[in-house]
Amino acid sequence: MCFLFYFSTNKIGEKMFKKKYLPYAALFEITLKCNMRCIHCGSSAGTQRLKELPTNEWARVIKEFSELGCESITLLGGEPFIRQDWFEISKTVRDYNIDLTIISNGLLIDEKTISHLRKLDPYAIAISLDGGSPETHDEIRQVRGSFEKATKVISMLKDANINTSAITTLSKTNFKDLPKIRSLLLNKNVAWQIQIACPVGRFPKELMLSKEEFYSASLFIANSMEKYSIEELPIAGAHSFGYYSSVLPNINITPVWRGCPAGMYLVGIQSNGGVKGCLSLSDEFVEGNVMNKSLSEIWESDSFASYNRKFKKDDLNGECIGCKYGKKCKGGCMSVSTSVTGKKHSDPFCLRLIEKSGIID
Amino acid sequence: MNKNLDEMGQTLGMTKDDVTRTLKMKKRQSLSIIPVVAFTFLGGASFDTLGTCYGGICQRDFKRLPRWLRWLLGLR
Repeated sequence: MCFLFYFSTNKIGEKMFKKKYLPYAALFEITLKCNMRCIHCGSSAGTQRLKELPTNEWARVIKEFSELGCESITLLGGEPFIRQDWFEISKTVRDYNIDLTIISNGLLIDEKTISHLRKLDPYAIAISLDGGSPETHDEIRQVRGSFEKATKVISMLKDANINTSAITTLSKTNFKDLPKIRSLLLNKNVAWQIQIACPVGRFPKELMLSKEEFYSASLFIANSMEKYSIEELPIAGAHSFGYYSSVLPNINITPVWRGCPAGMYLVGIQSNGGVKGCLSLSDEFVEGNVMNKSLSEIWESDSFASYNRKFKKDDLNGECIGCKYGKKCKGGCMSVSTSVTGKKHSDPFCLRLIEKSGIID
Repeated sequence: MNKNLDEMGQTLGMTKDDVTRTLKMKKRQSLSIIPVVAFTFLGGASFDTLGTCYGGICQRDFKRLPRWLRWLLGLR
């Protein structure tokens, strides 16, 4: 009886007994305006969207998230620090006692910004670091001097005792820079998240990693985990790195991969109020707008994120069909799957699939 | 040793020994599958949180766990 009571009072229990989905983590694209033109940008960021939400609307949305049980909000863009009201939006998040993370290219971060950030006590500030040298990073980011700025900002944030992360988006352009970036981050207590660029937005398909390169990068992440302690180098692959490899250890940020989290416990809000399961998904996945409907109406709608919530093994596509992990895995990362194959539940950048394809003897 | 894996490792500066040691890590993780499942089931939401931190790996969450438990869970 106590056992049942325990599960009826925690979130797992809620999932088991009430089948209620809670948006634990939310991604807010607070503007699409950006001061960089990165070649891999999946949102083609640059100019702002028509009718971006004003400060008071974001405050309303944050309140709704809080009421729905959200525990973590990440602000991103575009470049979030371009918005004059970034501090007010961030403060509202913290006022509701929700963990705050901000992803930035670092270009607008100065001492004043850092003193504001300290007041917010953020969960983490993540800076994009796409190369181990100015040549690679600046080429990708299309702004000269951006490498120097990004590395300087990472040091400034650490000096201010703020949890700091670096995010590297991998493509053919910077794949071989991984060891250099690792040297830069080693022993700095900077968390390092590695993700792959997908052919969406302005990223050209020909620059996407080959499966061999993807596997090498995975081996590199696993080797870094083996070689260095979490204090020396907190490193992990993003959701696109997995799943159920028979050769490599788990390198995914999720200790146990249980399928794409979009719409399950994750939700993304575009700067114009569009709601989708994850911001990495294309605009076809927008399923409502917080300007027309309440967040709970959209989130609790029977049809929201049905691709994940109502997933059945028969929904698997491509090479995922027949995989013994298919039911748990749901075909990997939905964003990679749809952008590369045009189909859901068939992420071809799967370590297990690559191993089966004969690349590994 | 798998020749392809060695070659793939070399592309990013790994030695044969690096690759061998990395593969052993998989075996260590496999041994920890029971506590992982148990912890996921009992810990529920807190374990979910480990995977829902965007923009930052949840270093704070990882570090909250004692070193012996991290080792047992295959989390380093």
